Amino acid sequence: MFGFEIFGMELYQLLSFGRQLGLSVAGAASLWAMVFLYLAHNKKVEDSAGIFLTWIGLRMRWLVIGGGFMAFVMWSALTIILPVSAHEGVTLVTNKEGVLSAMNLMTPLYILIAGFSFFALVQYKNPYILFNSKRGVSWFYITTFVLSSIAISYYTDLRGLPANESFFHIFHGFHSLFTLGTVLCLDFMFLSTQNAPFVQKHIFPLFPQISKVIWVGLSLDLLSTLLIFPDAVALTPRFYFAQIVVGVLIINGILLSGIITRRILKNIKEGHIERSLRWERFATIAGAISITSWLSITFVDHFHYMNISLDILFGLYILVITTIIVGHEIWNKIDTRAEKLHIDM
Amino acid sequence: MYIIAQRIFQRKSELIMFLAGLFILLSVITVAMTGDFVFWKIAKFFYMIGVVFIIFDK
Repeated sequence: MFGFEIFGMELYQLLSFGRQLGLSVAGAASLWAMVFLYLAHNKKVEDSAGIFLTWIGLRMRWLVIGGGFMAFVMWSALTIILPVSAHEGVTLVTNKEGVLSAMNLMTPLYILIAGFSFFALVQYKNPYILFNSKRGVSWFYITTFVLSSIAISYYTDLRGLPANESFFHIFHGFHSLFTLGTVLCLDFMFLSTQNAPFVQKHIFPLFPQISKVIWVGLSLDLLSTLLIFPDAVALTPRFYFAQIVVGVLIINGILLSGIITRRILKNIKEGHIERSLRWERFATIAGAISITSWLSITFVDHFHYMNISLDILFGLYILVITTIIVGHEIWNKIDTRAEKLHIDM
Repeated sequence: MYIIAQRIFQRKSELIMFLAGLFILLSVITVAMTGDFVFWKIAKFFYMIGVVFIIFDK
């Protein structure tokens, strides 16, 4: 029943992907919420930025709760369902055993993550209980950040591995928190403030600083691959796909955080609404490429024996990007509030 | 060409990162054709330099 396998992808790899996604979102949201609350605390009383930073900081607990529960559910499925099922090849046994062994070892962490997420959910009407307002420090976010960081870094059993392989796994796991998780947090912040230009004014200037962390996160992964090069390189469609997507991601990222953002801000400042909307369209395309690329490389990363051809992988990649862009355009047509606010701005 | 590049990339870090991305794409072709990872390593080098520049960007 649980011997699911399609195109060389196994159930435990799919669950592991879901766990990684949940933890990266929970960890990144904790990190940025911590930063926002700290910045808010250090603002002067008369500065309205403090209110908006606190608002977005507290709002991010929903990402922590969602990500935390997602990670816990995937971890539960990994530890409860999978040991029952049989497996096929010798290499797969080792990989699967490594993942399951790590999951068992990390049991207290996942239970704590679920516990804290549940606590925040129960206290959803009183979010101020989650942080100490006197010092601007959130015990909740610090704890969930530390727990998520450890859990995401220890995704396979590192005991007995050579140092280079251990460091590779730690960096390889942890970087998702700075990259995929942070990109999703940026999207969340963008969507949360889409209809509130007065909030955007305080949140958007922080985006370039947040982008720096994404670049550093990708560098952790690129550095980590050097530790295992050339032994771990297998010239498969999965490898070529991941490399092309990383190349696209870098070029797209630098255009999005560079010229596109500059032009949007310049046009808004000078009052050129039409031009601003045109550059926002470029931003939508770049944003769709960015989120799809991060999800794609994290996804293919979990399926070592995936046997889907490069053509199909790219077909799916382009299909998802197109769907996001079309979906966004349709949403904009339906949701006229955003346009009204944009014109008022 | 220089003027176009200057209009698109206003910071050194942007140009370096763009080159890193191009080298990664180029490396895919060279790896597929010859199995040589030299462009892949150059891309990583550019990326690391680019990250350092980005960190210190104001």
